[in-house]
Amino acid sequence: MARVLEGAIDTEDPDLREMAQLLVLRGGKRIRPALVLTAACFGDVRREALIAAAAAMELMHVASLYHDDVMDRAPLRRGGVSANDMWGNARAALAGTYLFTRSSALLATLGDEVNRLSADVAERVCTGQLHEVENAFNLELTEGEHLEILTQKTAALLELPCRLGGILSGAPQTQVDALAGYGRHLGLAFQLADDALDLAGVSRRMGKATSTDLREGIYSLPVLRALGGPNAGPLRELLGRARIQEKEIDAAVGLVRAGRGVEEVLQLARSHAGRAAAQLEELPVLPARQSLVELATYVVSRAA
Amino acid sequence: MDAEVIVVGAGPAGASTAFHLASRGRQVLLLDRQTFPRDKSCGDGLTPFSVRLLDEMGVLAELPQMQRVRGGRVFMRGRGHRDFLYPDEEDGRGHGLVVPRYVLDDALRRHAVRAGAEFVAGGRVQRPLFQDGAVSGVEFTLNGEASTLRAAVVVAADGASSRLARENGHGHRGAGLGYAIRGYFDGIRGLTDLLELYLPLTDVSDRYVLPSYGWIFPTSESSANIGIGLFERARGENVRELMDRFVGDLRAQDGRFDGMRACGALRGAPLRFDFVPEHCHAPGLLRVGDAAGMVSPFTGEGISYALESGRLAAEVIDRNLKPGRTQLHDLSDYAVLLERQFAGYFEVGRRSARRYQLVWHVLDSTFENEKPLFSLCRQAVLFPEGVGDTHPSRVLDDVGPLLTPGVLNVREDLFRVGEVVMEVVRRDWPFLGRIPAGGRGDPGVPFRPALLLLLASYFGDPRAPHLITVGGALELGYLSALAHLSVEDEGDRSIQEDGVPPANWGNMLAVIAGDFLLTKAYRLCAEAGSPVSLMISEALQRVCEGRLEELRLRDQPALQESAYLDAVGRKTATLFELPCRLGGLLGGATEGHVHALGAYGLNLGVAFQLTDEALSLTGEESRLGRTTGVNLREGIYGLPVLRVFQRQDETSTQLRRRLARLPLTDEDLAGARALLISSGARDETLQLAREFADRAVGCLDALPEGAARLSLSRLAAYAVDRELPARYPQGWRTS
Repeated sequence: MARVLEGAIDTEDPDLREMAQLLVLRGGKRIRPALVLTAACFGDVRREALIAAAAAMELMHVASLYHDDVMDRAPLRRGGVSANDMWGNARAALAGTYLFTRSSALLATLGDEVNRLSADVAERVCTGQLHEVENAFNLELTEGEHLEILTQKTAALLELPCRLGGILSGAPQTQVDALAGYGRHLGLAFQLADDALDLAGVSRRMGKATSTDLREGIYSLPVLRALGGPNAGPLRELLGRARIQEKEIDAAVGLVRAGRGVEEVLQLARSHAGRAAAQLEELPVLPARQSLVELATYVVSRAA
Repeated sequence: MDAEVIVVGAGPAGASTAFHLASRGRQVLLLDRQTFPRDKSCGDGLTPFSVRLLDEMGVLAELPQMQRVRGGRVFMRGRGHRDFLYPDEEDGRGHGLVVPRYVLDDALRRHAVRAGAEFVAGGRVQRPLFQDGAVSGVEFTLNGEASTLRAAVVVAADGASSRLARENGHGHRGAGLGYAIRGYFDGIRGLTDLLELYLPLTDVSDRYVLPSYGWIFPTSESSANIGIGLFERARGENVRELMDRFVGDLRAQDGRFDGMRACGALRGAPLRFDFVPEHCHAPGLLRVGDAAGMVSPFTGEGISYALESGRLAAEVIDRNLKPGRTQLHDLSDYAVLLERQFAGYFEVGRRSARRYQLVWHVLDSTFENEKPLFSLCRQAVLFPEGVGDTHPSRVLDDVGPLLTPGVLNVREDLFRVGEVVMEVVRRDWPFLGRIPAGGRGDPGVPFRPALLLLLASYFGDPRAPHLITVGGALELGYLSALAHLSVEDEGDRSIQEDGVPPANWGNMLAVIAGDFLLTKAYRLCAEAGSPVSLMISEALQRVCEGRLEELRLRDQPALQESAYLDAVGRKTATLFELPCRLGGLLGGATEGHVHALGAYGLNLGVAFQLTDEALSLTGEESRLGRTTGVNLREGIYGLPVLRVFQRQDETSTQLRRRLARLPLTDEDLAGARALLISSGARDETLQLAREFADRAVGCLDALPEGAARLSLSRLAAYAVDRELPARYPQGWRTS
């Protein structure tokens, strides 16, 4: 796949090649391509197309990282300096768009169905992001609305590789649907656990994401739970400030941690991981199935 | 029946409804609980669109001479101010007015009466009457006597605290409810013919930004309507205190207000922003104006929406009232019309209050930013002129003269493309669909990708499937590119006191909006099949490469002209080539013809871009609002600059000196512009543009003659001379 990835993002433009390669070659966990290939184990594997789909999933994901980092002004990504920090926002955003066009071009070679499905998912992801940002500073955001946003913006990007793996390997429709359901719940479990752990300050990003999000008025589920809890008054007071200061953010995080939100959200993440695994009961017992179950367990057990 | 239609409330919305119905010969009863003339809380500002509507109704001539306004001046807290001038229109109506409601409402009401409406003052509508599940009239009390009045339709024009709407289950529920208060003041010095807006106000501790603004609308050089609007209930804010603070600050901080005196008492009224088209009709009932929640959440403007919704309501009622019918159950056409007309001007329903925060943050942090997305946003949010013009029809106005009689379907198809675009963004963010309609007479409009696509399809089958869908996809894709282009690098200037940079809302909006539009475009073109998706992906990839090339070539005075033209070709001309090729392909044109169309598009694109560069030197806004100033400030030199640099003469040295100092001052820019014109570089660039346009026309030789080819050739001429040919006297309109 590495060869396909490199081939897919190759361009005559030396700067663009370097920029596009920055995050692609740094690796990361490559969960999405792994999901395509693992999901494909339930059908008759068609190797070429699967590799292309796997590469396209990784490119689509990496494209979103470039854009996320520009929006969040993130200085670091995948264990190194972010593209925006290295080349500036305009170039980093361009590199992200470029990768998205390359991903789309790859997907367009895989037939109308794959092309349509992927376009639908990309649309859902961006619509979810739009809804998230337009709810910035919305202290009345409901849990249902928040989870809908997460389903669109995060879960869809894990659902798609599972579905594509199933479709391209010719698995029967019921199995494809089961795989897609697995991906969706896995995505929710992953995101919820990430949000809870980051708030608790035990994640790899050491609370950095929470701090950025609060500054931008983006409230994760533990925060929303706290807004409905006993500390709601003082928390609202802090979050409503026109330009919130670092020490006020710390105070807000303290208020959220003081409640039961973090533990409750972790619990919810575990329940989604369980539901992800339950989807797989539709599928034949293969080593691939066990791998998927383990992945679901892994994403909610990262509390170091 | 007592009337065919009962209109409750004789403000602008009610009077407009009654007027339009009565002038169609309908029997109308117009009720109001007050006698006229009467005072009303309002900013009294009329936008050019309101002025136009009043003119069309014939009311304008009846108004006394009133203060004219040329536009608005927006003061952004802590960021200085900017002026927004209303576009001049040939017929001289490109101005607004300040007309006290005491005068305006009475003129409108009298006009409705003159058209034949019956007006009853001083009575109170107690409640609606129902029959067979539909509103069939109202219970009415006049001079202490109750009576029932029956009609086929009742129109609720009874303002923001509409009793009828509440009775009918669509009263406000707190969300989308604000409050405004105003007073008249005189003894002010030096007011101009601009409406002044102050955004936003803060709470007494100055720590919380309130969803609010203050206004000063001049009624003469020395007197004004001054007030504040609050868009949602803010914690413990008293509107009266907020107003006192605003007036106090004006006195303390602005010498013009030293001797200001209040004339009469302050007056307040609720504001409603909960417009939802589907809630504006019920069996036997329509809501118009404020009663329908039609107030801009950014400027508080409501008069033009009141007049327009009244006209639409009258149209729907008139169309549906058949002889002998005593009740009208289905008035849903009205919601459809409202949706078409206003989608994007009001964010629908509860979203408007939420999105206020986002849009406010973007406006605030991009207030001085000249990038196209932000200038369009500012214009669209703060001065959304042209409400009621649907954007497809505007495109047609600008394009019409370029089309030859043989391509009649193009007009209708362009309209359908516009509908596809609006439909796609309608649910999530209709505002974005409005952005391309930024300005009337935008020189870029005739080069909308959909037009090129549709014209190119005539070399095959212009009725081929997917053309409309792909046209919509291209429009969205281009909008996306426009949004993404607005992402900008930033220095250290925005670090706040605690050392952590605040969010960059401009970049956030640019990325989010760009991604949103791009993926919408992809979803649409996927319907046309994966080969189309592939072509679009590859074209956009070239655009990315070209844009990067452009960034790399920044600040390179020794840049070769050929390298520059190559970058232009990739970044801009690809966007012209793609629709030409796609139109040919989708229409089923031969390979040779598709090739010729693509070559035409490439040359056309270069011609267009070079012309833009040359024209923007003389101050003409270029396409997408990008000006030479923006480009030069970013170190992106256009061809005129490169031409001068090549010369190694005195002018060249002067220009280098001008452009060496960064950041460029306005004086540097003006100096650079003057040099570029006097040196002849501007004319040389235009000459080169003309050569590319000629090449574009040359490419058409390979195509069969006919109306489509003639239209494309006219487009190429227009790309450089920017003059629309005389319209075809007849024939082309009769599609």
